[in-house]
Amino acid sequence: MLRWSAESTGREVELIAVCDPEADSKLVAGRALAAAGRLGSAITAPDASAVELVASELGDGAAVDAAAVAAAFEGLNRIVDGVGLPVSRASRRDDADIIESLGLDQFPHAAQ
Amino acid sequence: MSALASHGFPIRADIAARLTDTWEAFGRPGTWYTAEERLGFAELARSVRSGLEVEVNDAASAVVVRIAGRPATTTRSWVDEMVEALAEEQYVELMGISARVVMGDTFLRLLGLEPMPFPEPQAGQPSRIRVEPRPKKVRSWIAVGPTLVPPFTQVLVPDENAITYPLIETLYMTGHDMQDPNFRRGDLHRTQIELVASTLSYGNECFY
Repeated sequence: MLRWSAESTGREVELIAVCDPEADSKLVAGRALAAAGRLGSAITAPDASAVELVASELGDGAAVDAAAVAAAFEGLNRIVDGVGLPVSRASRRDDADIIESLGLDQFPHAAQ
Repeated sequence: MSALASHGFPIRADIAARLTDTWEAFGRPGTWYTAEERLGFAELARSVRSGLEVEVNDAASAVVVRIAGRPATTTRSWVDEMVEALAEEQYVELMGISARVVMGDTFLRLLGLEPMPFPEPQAGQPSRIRVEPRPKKVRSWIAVGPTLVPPFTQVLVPDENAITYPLIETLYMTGHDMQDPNFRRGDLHRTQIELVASTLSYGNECFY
């Protein structure tokens, strides 16, 4: 969805920023937003450090929205992994370059 | 709901309302579990996602622990084993409870807030309503349908889907909005939204 939305709207994005905290996504406030996503998958206690970064660059509303997106995917990840929802064959084919370059083929469900 | 009203970030009214509804539902009888049981599973999911080590010795609790704690470690053989012990419908209800607790708690923690307390249990028995005709498993481990996409992952327990998916749509975006690569949520462009989603999913090793 990240590549699709960027390509469809003429925006440049470096996908490596999804897995490399040092990489620049080329999106506005990309480092802060990626930090929010990264923290969201690991957070075990209240910690507003990442969304405060988002707030400092994009405002409080964007900080709340970033937290909401992270929360949604904490649930979505659990549901799709819980039912073993397969990636479509077309998506695997179309995204084969991303899957390999980001190392997604090493994820536990990649062989499904 | 005091947690949503006593901090510095302006939580959208639709999120506050949806979280309130979602939390209240933990305290009502579900399709296969009583309110007391659902609240027990919700507390367990919270403990696991908080990083606490827990030992469980029943299949229902094992589902909650795995889904809340390490969802990427689910396998077909493990799911088959749990379904053998519980039935698919119970598995789906437990999965939904676990996912919703994690969503709500993650949202608040990222804003620097403590998770919301769970409600008191309401009396009553589970509805035990089965979906007929039963969806068939095609390529997934649990029956979903009619297509292999997230909005249909809990079709075996419609009351669960009716709580879980609206929460996801409120926090992320609706199915209609998903068709728009130029969608904006306030000051966030779709690409920025997807960067958060992709980074988080990478951290969870979620291949989907």
